[in-house]
Amino acid sequence: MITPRVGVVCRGDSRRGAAAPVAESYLVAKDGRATWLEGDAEQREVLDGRGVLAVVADGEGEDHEIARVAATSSVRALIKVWPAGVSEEPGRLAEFLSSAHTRMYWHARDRKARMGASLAIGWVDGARLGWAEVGSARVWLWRDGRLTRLGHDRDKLSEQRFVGGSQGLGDDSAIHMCPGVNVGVAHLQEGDQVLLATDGLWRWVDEPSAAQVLTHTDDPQASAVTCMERAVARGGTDHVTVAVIDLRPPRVVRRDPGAVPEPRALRKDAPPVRQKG
Amino acid sequence: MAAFDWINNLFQGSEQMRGLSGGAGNAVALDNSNSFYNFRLRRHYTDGDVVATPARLWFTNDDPLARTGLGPHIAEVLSEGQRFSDVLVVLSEDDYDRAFAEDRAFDRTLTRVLGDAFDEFLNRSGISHTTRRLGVWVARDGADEIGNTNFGMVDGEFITGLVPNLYRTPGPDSRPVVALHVNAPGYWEGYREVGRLYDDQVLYTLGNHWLDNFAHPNLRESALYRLQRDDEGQFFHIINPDLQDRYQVISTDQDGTSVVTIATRDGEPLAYVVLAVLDASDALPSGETAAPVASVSKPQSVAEARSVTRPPADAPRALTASDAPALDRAASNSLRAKQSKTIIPEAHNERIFTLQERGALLQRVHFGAFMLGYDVYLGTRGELGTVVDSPAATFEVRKKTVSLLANADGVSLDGESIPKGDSRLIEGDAIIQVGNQRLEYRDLRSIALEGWPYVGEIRRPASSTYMLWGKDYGIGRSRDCRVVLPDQPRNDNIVWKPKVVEGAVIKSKTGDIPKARFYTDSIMVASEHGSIDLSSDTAFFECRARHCYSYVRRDGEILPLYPTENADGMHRTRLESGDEVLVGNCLFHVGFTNAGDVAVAPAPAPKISANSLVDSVSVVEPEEQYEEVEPEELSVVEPFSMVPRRGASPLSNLPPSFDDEDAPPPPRVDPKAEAILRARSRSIPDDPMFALDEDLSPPRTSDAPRRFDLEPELVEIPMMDLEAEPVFDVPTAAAPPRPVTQPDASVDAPPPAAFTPTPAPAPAPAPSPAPSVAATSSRTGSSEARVDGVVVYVDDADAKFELGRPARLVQVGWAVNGSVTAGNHTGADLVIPENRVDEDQSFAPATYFHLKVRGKRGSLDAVHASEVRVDGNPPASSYDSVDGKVISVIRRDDAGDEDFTVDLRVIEDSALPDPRARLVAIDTAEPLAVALATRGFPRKTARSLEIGGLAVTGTFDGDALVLSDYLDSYQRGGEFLSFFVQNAGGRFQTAPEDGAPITLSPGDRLVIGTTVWRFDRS
Repeated sequence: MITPRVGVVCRGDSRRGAAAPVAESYLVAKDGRATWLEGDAEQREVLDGRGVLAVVADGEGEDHEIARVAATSSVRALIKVWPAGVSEEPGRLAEFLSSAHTRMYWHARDRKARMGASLAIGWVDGARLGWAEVGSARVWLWRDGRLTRLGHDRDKLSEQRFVGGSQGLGDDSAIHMCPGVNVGVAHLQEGDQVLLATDGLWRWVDEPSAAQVLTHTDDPQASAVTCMERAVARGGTDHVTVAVIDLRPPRVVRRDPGAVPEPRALRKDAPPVRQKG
Repeated sequence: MAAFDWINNLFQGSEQMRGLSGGAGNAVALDNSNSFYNFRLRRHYTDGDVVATPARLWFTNDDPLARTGLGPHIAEVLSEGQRFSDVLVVLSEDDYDRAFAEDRAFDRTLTRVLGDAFDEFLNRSGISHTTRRLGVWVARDGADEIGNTNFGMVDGEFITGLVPNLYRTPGPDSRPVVALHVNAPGYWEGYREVGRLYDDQVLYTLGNHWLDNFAHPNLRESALYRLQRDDEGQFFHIINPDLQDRYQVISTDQDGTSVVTIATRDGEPLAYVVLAVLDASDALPSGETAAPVASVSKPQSVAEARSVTRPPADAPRALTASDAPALDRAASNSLRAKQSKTIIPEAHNERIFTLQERGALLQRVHFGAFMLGYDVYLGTRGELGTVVDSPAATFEVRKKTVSLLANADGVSLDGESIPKGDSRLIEGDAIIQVGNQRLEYRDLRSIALEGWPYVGEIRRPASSTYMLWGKDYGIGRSRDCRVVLPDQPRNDNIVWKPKVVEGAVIKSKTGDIPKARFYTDSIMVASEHGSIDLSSDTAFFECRARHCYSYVRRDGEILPLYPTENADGMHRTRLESGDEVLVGNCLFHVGFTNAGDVAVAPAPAPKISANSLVDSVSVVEPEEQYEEVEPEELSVVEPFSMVPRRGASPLSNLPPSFDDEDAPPPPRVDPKAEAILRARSRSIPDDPMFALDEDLSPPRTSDAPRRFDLEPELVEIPMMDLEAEPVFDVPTAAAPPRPVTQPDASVDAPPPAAFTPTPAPAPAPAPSPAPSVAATSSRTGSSEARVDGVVVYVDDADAKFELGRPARLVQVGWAVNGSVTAGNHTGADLVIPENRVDEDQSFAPATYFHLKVRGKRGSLDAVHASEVRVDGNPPASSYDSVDGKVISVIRRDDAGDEDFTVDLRVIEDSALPDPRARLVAIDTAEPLAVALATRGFPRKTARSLEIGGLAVTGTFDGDALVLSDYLDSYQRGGEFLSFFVQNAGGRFQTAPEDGAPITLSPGDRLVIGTTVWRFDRS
């Protein structure tokens, strides 16, 4: 299995002006380093972990600062599970999410902070993908040009929030992780891609459109940016955070000017177009 | 007066919590939420005629061990430090009518008879009392004077009530000290004298209950306002502590007259009270017949008061001193003419914390190895307990299900009548009706939380315990606790498995355990289960049980509090008024007023930060939150498939090692599981993480593995006694009667007696032949924690048998040089077997850690964080040094609870054959761990077996063990297996290459492959 490449982008809410800080966050943990977005700056921590872990988070709270704290703390909490690896323990990710949520929920509640975050998690470890969705963020698997969402809408699961808890699902202080519904393991093949996004993307960009971006873009960072730009182009005004984990072999660009005409030169040397009529 | 005395007197001490078994089954509850009068009444039955023989009300019969009645009731109440003045006796309608028909002065007769018995009791007990005789209030069941309360009594039944404020008639020497004048806004103008507090009266109450000294519906609650006077003449008053978060008492001065206002906390006045101090001249003249205080103090009956049409109340508003109505001229003149002064009683500043028991909790069955379940009985009058005479219905708890069995007619579940003798599974919240008693049942099985043991909740009338701020109060079965949880030692309600149903003991590796020590409370409730910490302004609840979780429920949300054995978990949380605390089998409701409500503005909440939030999350600490949801079809997606972790012994410190001689030898590999596995193999990745549950479906929430599950609190049984049993000294004759005769010394023991750790019927590839606990030294642990092997397990019965042999080879560790993995499967280098109790147990293969030893250096990478502890704590991902560290591998019982640990230490052992190797030593002080790897030898009978890949015959002559017949397996293909012998603590020597017999004395050791064995002798 090749080493996954990761692209990630986060865009603030355009309704608040270009300078408005985002209340979303992401985490990319790979190659012994975890990188996450805190406000408008990336932070890094050096530590060993297993595989490639990507998380996107959409924070909510009574004000923007609280929402930012919710998103940032949620992705940072995921760093703690990274060293454990995804493949050894079934349900480990779900268990960790539930446990971490409980602690953070009561910690926040004791401080009378009402906050929560939607999370989409993709964790590639060897040929295995551990994934999870909490709330409105989603995870897709791209294979052979087709995008398949891994999670499923079920009951009120999409309304629950990490740190925030659930409503109408029994114990409202907990989050409910249901294998096969909002958490699971998928088996990866070389050439697959994993797309993670907050609802700022999927509410504006449908799956075929996003699949098209992933199909025709070689670089995962470019894929993430293009997806985000499509959401904006289609009228999306909300925050949007997109991450792409790419397991395709990087395309080798041959540096042979003789074989591949340089476009600019071609245009320069082309005869003028004759106007009709 | 010391605060403690004050509160002790005012609240009459602590209530006995009832849980599933506490409290008398004949206690009567009168109110679902307000606890003051609950359980102060007792129901009795006598075969005798209480009319012809009123003394039967004192003792219902002549059997000192079986009698009830007013006498035992009084003795119990006095022993708890509670005080009272008079008693209430309620007779059945027929008995009452007949009694007064035969004797028109039956009440006086009864007062005399019971008064004499009471005096005799006091004299016999050496208790002094005032000259006032015991007053008796005789009432008829269902009468108006008792609020039309119908106890549904039959002839021979009667109720006794010891209510601290009950005061029927002043005695000749009684002196009234305070007259209570009440203005009830909206009901009457001005003030009326409603009653008097006498100097020998314990308590005076204002409320809306028929047991209150003055009852009026405007007062809304039972015993809402309480007034008392201490021995020094000081007056105290208080709002019912159970209601302090809703009501208040305010004292004001009005033209020199002190007015006490009883109001809601949002300012709505309920009553104004003037307390006029009386002097001796106010007492009734001696010789004048005093009317019963109850009737004197009540200007109108409860029924009359209820019938008063109350004018529409104004909207609540802030209460001010001027709101108190002016004393009318007559009342004022009356008070003035008597030169009365009015008082404001002392209102103690102590904040009061109320812990109100509101329900009982049913837990799942913990010890599945020998318990099928347990029963909780429901009496015809709603009494709930593990000991109930002639129960009308039975809650049958089996594993995680609860059924309701109707033992009598008139039992219904959610309106559906259950025929007598039938049972119904309770599959959700339900209303249970028994006769005219209704119980609310809540199904708790769907809650998925760490350690969550509860399957059901039965709401019940409240009883309270009160605590003052400034201290820490324990909650548990211990009598030293402030809140004493039930400790009913009877276990008739436990449904044993057939193999242990006979006999008085349960056999375990650590010895025989008296069954009497297993009862509902000892299994489920700790000696000190939790505590209420009121030492600061904030109330905290802390879980103090070593193995049991506690929970706090707030607005439908539940917070688990970890047992103390989990050092990293949250043990303590702040409480808010209205919280519910789930402790053992009791459900408590918490009530108190915040310090800020009185004088101090609430402190601003600390600012939340991402750092503080993230810090609240510990390193991977799994929790179960799985729901039973069928994963939808998605070709590329395989959902997590959980394998319930089934461990070995169902006992924590009391490992059961039952000798089920009738049990057939366990299948080494479950063919059915194997077949199912093969059938599913196309869709199942070739990895044990996808190992399937037996039913091949995602686990039920309730079946999910519980890493931090509740450890039944049998640790409270004095374990020293148990462990003092000579575990290894069980004589052969006393050993389990499994057939052990070996007529042919050359033949190995039959399978049941053989000790071969066995691959469990786990969904894994076909087992390798004859797996052993021996490490396979050829295998090198990879950095990837793969699980390639078959789970190795030891049958509990076999282990017990091996331990019972007079001579034993005990594996004491492994000689390790290089990198190894430890796991429970044959793919691991250091194999730590599972302990199997039930044949249908299955295990998931798991790799626990990687260990690297290079000379004196060692490092450790933990793989399975939830199954391993390092120095008692959840492991870090890696350790650069293993020196001095205790690596504990957790062994679980069939319910997934932690059973025991196999403790390992990496130590230097210069005697080892490989000078670069270090010994990964098994802590042999833990007999349960030793049992996992012990081979026994009979006396003077040869036994052939395989140890670490070496086939050998051992003969124990009563002194030494001689090993022979090992050459064939020792020498293979011209090479010799790694096989060394250490005698008398000397250096390890290569085993004789000619196959000569090896003689071992106690303490001598063997190294076979990498496994290290020691010869022990009983």
